[in-house]
Formats: sequence, C-alpha cells, structure tokens
Amino acid sequence: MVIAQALGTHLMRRLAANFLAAASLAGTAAQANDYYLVLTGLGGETYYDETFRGRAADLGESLARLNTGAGRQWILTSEQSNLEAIEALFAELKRQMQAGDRLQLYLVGHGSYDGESYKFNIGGPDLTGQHLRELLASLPSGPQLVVSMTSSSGVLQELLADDQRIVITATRSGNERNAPVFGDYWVAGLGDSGADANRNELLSAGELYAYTLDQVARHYESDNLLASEHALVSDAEGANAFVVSRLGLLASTQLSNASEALLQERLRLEGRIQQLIDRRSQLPESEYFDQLQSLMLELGRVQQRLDNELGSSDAR
Amino acid sequence: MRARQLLHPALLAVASCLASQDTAAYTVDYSGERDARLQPCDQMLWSGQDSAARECFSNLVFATTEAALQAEASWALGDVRRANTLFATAVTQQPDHPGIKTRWGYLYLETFQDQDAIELFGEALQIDADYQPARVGVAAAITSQFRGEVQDEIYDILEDNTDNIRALLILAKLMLEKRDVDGARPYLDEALELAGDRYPPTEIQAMYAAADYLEGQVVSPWIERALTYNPSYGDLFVNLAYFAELTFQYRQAVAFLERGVEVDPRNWVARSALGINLTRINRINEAKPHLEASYAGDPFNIETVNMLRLMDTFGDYLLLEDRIEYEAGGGTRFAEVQLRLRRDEVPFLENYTLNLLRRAIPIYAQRYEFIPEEPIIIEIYPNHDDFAVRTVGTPGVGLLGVAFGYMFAMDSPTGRASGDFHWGTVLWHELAHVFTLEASSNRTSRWFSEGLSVFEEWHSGPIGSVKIPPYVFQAIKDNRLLPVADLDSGFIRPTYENQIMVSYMQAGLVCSYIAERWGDAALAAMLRAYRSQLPTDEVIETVLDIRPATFDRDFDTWLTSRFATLLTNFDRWMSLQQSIGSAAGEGNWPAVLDLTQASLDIYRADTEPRSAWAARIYALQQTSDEAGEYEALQGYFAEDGYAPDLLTRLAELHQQRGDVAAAQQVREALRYVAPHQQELHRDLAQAYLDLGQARAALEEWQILLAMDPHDKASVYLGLARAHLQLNEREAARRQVLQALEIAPFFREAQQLLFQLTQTDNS
Repeated sequence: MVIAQALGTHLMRRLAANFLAAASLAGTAAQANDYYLVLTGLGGETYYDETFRGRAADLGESLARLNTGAGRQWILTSEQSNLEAIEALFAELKRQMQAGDRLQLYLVGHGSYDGESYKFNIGGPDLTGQHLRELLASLPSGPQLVVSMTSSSGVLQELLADDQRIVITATRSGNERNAPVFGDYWVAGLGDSGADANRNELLSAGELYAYTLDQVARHYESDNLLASEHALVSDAEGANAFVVSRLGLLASTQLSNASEALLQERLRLEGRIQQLIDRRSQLPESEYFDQLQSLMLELGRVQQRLDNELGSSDAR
Repeated sequence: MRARQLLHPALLAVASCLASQDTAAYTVDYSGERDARLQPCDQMLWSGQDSAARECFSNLVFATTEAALQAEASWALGDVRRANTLFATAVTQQPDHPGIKTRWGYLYLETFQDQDAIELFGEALQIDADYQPARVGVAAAITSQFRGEVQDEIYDILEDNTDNIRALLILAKLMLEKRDVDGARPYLDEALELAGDRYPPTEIQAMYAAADYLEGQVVSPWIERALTYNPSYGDLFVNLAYFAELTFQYRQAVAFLERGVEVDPRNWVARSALGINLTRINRINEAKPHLEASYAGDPFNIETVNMLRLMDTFGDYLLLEDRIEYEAGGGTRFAEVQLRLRRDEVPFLENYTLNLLRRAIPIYAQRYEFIPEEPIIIEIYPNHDDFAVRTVGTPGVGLLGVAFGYMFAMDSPTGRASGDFHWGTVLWHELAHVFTLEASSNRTSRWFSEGLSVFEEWHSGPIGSVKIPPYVFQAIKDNRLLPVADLDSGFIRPTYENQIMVSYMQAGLVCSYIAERWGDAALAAMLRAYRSQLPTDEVIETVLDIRPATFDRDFDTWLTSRFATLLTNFDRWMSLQQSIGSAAGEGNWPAVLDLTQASLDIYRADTEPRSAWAARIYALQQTSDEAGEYEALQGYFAEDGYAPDLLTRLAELHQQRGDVAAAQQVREALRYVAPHQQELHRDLAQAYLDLGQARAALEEWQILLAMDPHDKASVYLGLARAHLQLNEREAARRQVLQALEIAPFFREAQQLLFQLTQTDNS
C-alpha cells in the first residue's frame, strides 16, 4: 500500500485499471472476475442482419482476450435474443457473480424511443430501458460497463445512471434515430493497437471511446455529412479505469508469480512517471526530459523482462 | 390569394425596427398606366428633389383610401413592407386588374425575390395574356437570373409592342453584357426618344454611360447629363459598377460605387455593392461599415446579410503571409502571397498550397509575360456556402473557385465529399486567372481567361492531362460549339443545359489549339491585345492574322482530328457506357470486363466516377482478380484518375508488392485531392522514411501532428526516427520521450530510446 499512499487517490484510480487487470491475470481466488454479455438485436434487413452479426462476433473475439474463464461470457445472436433468454441469462449471472465482479454488457442492434421509453429491438417483445435497468440492478454490486451501440441509445444515459455503472451510448438522445456507425469503429478499435493510447496492452473503455469518437468524426467529415450521432460517456474517468480487452502478450495469458511481480514493478514506475509529468511545468525542460528519460529507461528494462517472462514461461 | 411575405420571418423583427423613411429610387413605371395623381410626385423624385417628393407622396398616402395608390406612394417613400401589405389589399379590391399585380411583382423584383415576382407576373398574365408590362416583368426577372432564353422572349415582346421602354432597356443590357455596344445603341436611342418629357431619362442615360465605359470611356458625358437631371442619381453608378464587375474591373467598380455613395449616401444597393466589391480587392476593413450601413437601411438585401454573417466568421481564419522566390524575365523575382485559411485547415493546406504556388508562378510569369506587382491573396473555405457568399453573394452556386484579380477564393477539399473535386487543379486554374486578368489589366474576355485557366490545368497543372466530360463530346457532335467571337455568351447567357461547362472546355481547347499552332507567345500577345481593349474578333485577326470565321473552321478541323477516334465512334461509345451500367447492375462481371475493354479501346481518358475504368476496377474486385485490378488501377492512374479510394487501393497494392516509390507517387498525387485524410500523411511519412527522405518525412509527421490525431505517440516516434535519420540526435531524443510521455509502454519507442542512449553512452 505504499504505492497508493504515495500516488494519491486520483492517480490510483487511473492506475487501478492496470493493477486490477494485472492482478486478475494471476487468477487467484480472491480476485474479482470479468463477465461479459453481448446481446444482438434484429437487423430488419439483410444489411443490418449481417452487420450486427459481424459486430457481435468481433466483439466476442476481442473480449475473449480478457481470458475471463469458462462460463463467464455470453453472446446472444439475433435469433437467440428474446426476453425469456435474456432474463434467464441475467438469472445465471446473478447466481455466478460475486460482489466486486466486473460486467461488460453490449447492445448491438436497433433501438427506438417513442418519447417515453427506450426499446432494444429483439424477437418477440422488445427489451425496454426500464427492464434493462431492473436486470442490471439485480446483479451483485460491482463495476458495470454498458455500451449501447443502437440508435436512440442516448436516452439510456439517464435511465441507467448509477455510481458503479459506466454507460456509453452511440447517441446523445433518444431523438438521434439513424443507425449509428459508432459500433463499427468501437469494434475496429478493439483490433487496432493505435486505440491503446498508452500502449500498455490493456485497452480501457476510455481509450476505446476516445478512439471511436475520433473515427466517427472523421467518418462524417470525410463524406462531408452532418453528423447524425453524438456519443456520450457517463463517467470518463471511470471509463479510463475499466479494461475492456488485452492486446499483445497480455492477451489471453495467465501470469506466473515472477510476471506478476514485474507487472507490479511496472505499475510502480508508471506512478513515478505520472508524478513527474504532473510536475513538468515546475521543472526546466532539459531537467524534465533527463528525469523522464531515466524513468523511461527503467520502465523499458522492466518491460523487457516482463516480455521475456510472458514470451517464454507464461504464455499458455 | 395566398399571403406573401417580403422577408424571412427571422429578419422581420429587425426590419420592423428599421423601416426606412427615405424616398427610394423605385422601379419606374413605363407602362403609360401610371395614375395621374402620382406623376407630380414622380417628377420630384426623378429629379432628385427628395424632400419635396417625400412630402408629396406622404400627402398622397393620407389623401386617398385607394390601396393601389397608397401602395405606390409607400413604395416611393421606401416603406416596402407597407407597400406590400397595401398591394395585397389592392389586389383584393381589384382582383382582375393585371396592372396592380404587375407593379406588385416589380416590388418583389426590387427586393430580390425574383421567383415571387415571376409568380405575380404570371397571375397578371392569367388575367390578360397579352399584358405587356407583365411580359416584360417576366423577362426582367429572368434576366436577373442570367438565363439565356430571355432574349427571344424580349424580341417577341418588341414585335408586339415596339414602344416599351423597359423592354428596350433590357435588350440593350443584354447586348452590352455581350459587349455588343453597337447593337445596344439603337435600342437606347429608341428608348430615349420614347421617354421624351414623360419619363425620366436617367435610366437610359445610365445605359449609355455603360456603353461608353465598355468602349473605354470611363468619364462618359452621359454621367454628367444624368446628374444634371438628378444630382443624387446613385443608380447610375450602380449600373456602371455592374458592367465593371462583369468585365473583372473590380477596382473600377469600387470607384464607381464610391461616386454612387457620394451622390446618394442613402442608396443602400450602392453601399452594399461597394462593401462587397471592397472585399473582392481585399479592402475588408473598409467594407464592413458600408455593409452595416446598407443593412441598416435595407435589411431585405440578402447579399448584404450573407456577407456580414460571413465576415463574422473571419475570426476563425488565419491570414498567412509568405514570399515565393522564382526566376522570370531573366532575373530572380519575389511574389508576395497571403493565404486565408481556417485555423484547423492550416496544417494540411498551407504547405501544399505553397508547393503549388512555387511550381505555378514561374510558369505563368513566363508564359504570360507578367510579374505580379501586388500580393496574391488566396482564400479557401471549408464551408461551400461561405465560399459562395464570398464570391457571388448567395449560397447554392455550383462553382469551385472564383478569381477577382489578385484575389481568389475557392472551396476547401473538406467542403465537399471526399474526392468530389481535385482542389490542386482548382487552385491551379484560379491562379492562372490572377495572371491572365492582371496581364490584360482585367480586360480579357471571359472565354479567354477561362480558356487559359483550363489550358493550364491540362498542360501544366497537378493532373496535367486533358479532362473533358462526355457530354461535351455530345455537344461537339451536335455542332453546338459557339464561334470564337461569340464564345462569351456561352458563359454569360447559356441557352442549354451544361452549356457553361461546354464553353469552358471549348475555351480550353481553343487555347490549346492556339498554343499548338501559333505558340505560347501568341497567348501573351492576345492578352496584350485585350488590354488595349480590342474585341475578340479583332484580337484574333490582329494577333493570329486570321479571320474569325476561318479560325473557327480550322479549329473545327483540328478538333475533329484531335479526338477522331472518339468522335467517329461516339454513338457506339455512349452505347457501351449504357451496357456497362446494365451489366454492372446485374452483377455480370465477365460482361463488364469485355464492355469496359471495348470502351477503353475507344477512349481511355474518361476517369469520371461512372467511367469504364471505375466499372472495370470494381468488376475485377468482385471477381477477386487482384492482378487484373492492379493493372487496371495503374491504367486509371496513368490517365490521371484521382478518386481517393481507388488511389489509396493502388498505393496499397504497390506497397504490398514492395514498390514503395510507386506507392509514394500515388500518395503524393492524393495530397491534391484529399489532404485532410490523416492516414495519407501517416503513410506518406512512413514511406518517406523508408525511402530515406527524412526531411519530407519530417514535414508529413508535422502535418499529421498538427491535425491532432488520436494516436499521437506513434507520430512522435515517427518524428524521432526522421530526426535520427537526419542525425539530429537531441531532437530525436526529445521526440521519442514525447512519445513515451503519452504511451509509456510503447515498445518501439522504448527500443529507440535504448538505441539513442546506448549509442550516446558508447
């Protein structure tokens, strides 16, 4: 806990993502587990059927890199998504999850808003926003990330608001009714190392959100179109601390004790680097860069040792 | 009858506060139907006795309950909103009176609402199909829309009614627009005789002054005569400025309009036009007070409103100044340039614009024997409507660039969908205007200036090959090209769809023909001939020593020979395009491949979005024939196709095959089509590094960094590598640390830092 005291709460929260993700890699019994759930809605026409199917499959592939363990991930196709199946799934989640476990929920499909309620379009009766809130609230307390890639999803921001829940929506209101392209770029970012802004191979929801916003903006600019969607995130800081996927050597990997120790060393150094960056304006430029260089070289050496560990003994 | 409004509701609130109490130079009623009670007031107004006229018209408003009379008096008093309401009442009182509807139409015409005016004239003609003032009104409205068919309509009207002064004035104006001064004068003579003492001569005198001006007489005796009749007749100078603008004489237009404002400070049209023309000669700070004054006096003028709104956005732009060194006229010269670019577009436009200027200026200076004496000002607008307002006053024009002499404005590549146009070519085209307009003291004919710009696009520009849309060949086949002496009318008063573009292409071809037969020197000599104010037919005869009719015949022979294969097979080629479209629609890719090959055998230079090239490449992609696709893309690029998606694919295929240099050549071409795409700069920078061109790589990474990319860490790493290649080790160290500051775990950056520090320590 020395590190935490030294770094302060704010920085700790930013670094928590690394720490938690690193710790969970070790798979010790005391660690929180990751769960994820992808619900695919009806496309209504061939193009959207195929798009949503592909999006859900790609999401599943990326989320699998979190190595959550058997029985902690579910992808419902558009054929499988109906209220009964969704309710059963949440019942199973409620049975399995412990307090502190993390959940990622993705809605892939069309949404609608009639001025009163949001509906996620599935086979049979639609899933309403209100019903979704009840289902999420029924789970043991712990961090939740809900990403709705649907039209009109902005209305969920208020409906699903909760201290422990990060809500990301493709639109800012229920009135943005065109099918958004947000989901395309979110999924593309999961496979693009450029989305991992700090290159720590732990892709946070915040990094991916920023990447997606940038791509969506360029999509509309490139076609000289007025953007018909404006994404929102309920808790930007929380999103930065929520790991959605792992990349590179950290993907689908369990760690040895040696690797875990190196990861913690890496975290300690990252904290020192952040402290230096925060003091940048107080230092002469050359001194700043000299100190930064020294820390970066140290971090690089730890990273090399970690890579060697992961590349040899740890990778399963 | 439906309600009519003179203004957009959003503006009415402002307008109601600003209702003018001034008498206005409103449209003279030459119909002979003018109410006798208005005539004494008219006489005062026409002769510039403003106070007396105001009192006269005011008395009339209170002395009568006849809405039509009150409407006319209110209009003359400048209260057009009240006049509008009163005309509506008058029409209710006398629904079968074509004259009231016609005058109401003229009120709309004067307040810049041509379409509503045409509807009212149409309603008048429904009452009386032969009602001449309404027919003339329609013609006047069409004239203001620059539609070529108006001339026939006017001739019809004249046949029916040879004493219609308004019709004679419109016809004279049409003649003068074509610079046919001799053709215009008889109409003016006739109009003046008809006016006698009954109507004011001023409008006719203004047209005489314009005729003199077009013949080089700036200080016409008609100006003095008009001002003697009405010392505050500002419209005289508005009319002169119109013809100055039409002949690219923007400084002269400003001078005329300054006179107009001087004699009639409350002439809001003059003040608006003065403001707009001042912006065209880059006297922007002086323009705004005139525009604001004009708006205060006449909030109906949408051009004033638009320009003021645009000027409010100028704070978002940067004015960048540079100096370009070049060789011309046997010595080293310097051209001052100013770029007005929106701040966020500076990173990807500034350098490329300057690169084009460095290439083009020496070419133009030498070919046109002209050294710029003032700064060249280039404005690039990301919002197309802003560009349109800047150049023609209202949004919705189909232009890409407009030159006003030393200053030109154009669309930014971000102003349209990606790849919609080749902005480098547009810049090249407009810059040519700077030289050709200024070399001729802005006296060149429209067709020649446009023709030279197109000629430069084809022969020296960033594309550098002849690009002609298929419908132009159709026009050639149908013998719809104009004689060279009349080519201006194809730009000013087009009579069929696409004629303006056909005229552009014809003008470019004519200039190509002249350069080929008589040499580049003839082009410069023609500009000099225009500068001495010769008309086109005399320019042709004097400089080329050939009669215009013979020139036309020889040009036709050259043209037919130049495009012999296509013109001979044109019907088959057109039929092939249709068949390609059908086969592609059916997904019959083998047929598409056969048909596109047949089409390309006839004509390969068509690289439009729906060309045989595009269809062929698509078919090859659909059939997964990558080798064929690669070959077709190379063919397309060799013909200077520039669709960004196709060129990006070609660069990718070159790169995959290890031909980095060829890939880079394609990407370099893309800079002048879609420079706002971040991937382009990343790819260019990386490839420059691979090719050992570190300085160029550095430039591209810097552009990309300024574009605020999401992944800045990799850009800093790229900068570090470029610096390292240049052996600038300290700069490389700083850049790599910048990369690591953002992305501490960035392995490639860590490795480079190790490399830099190990070497430094060893």
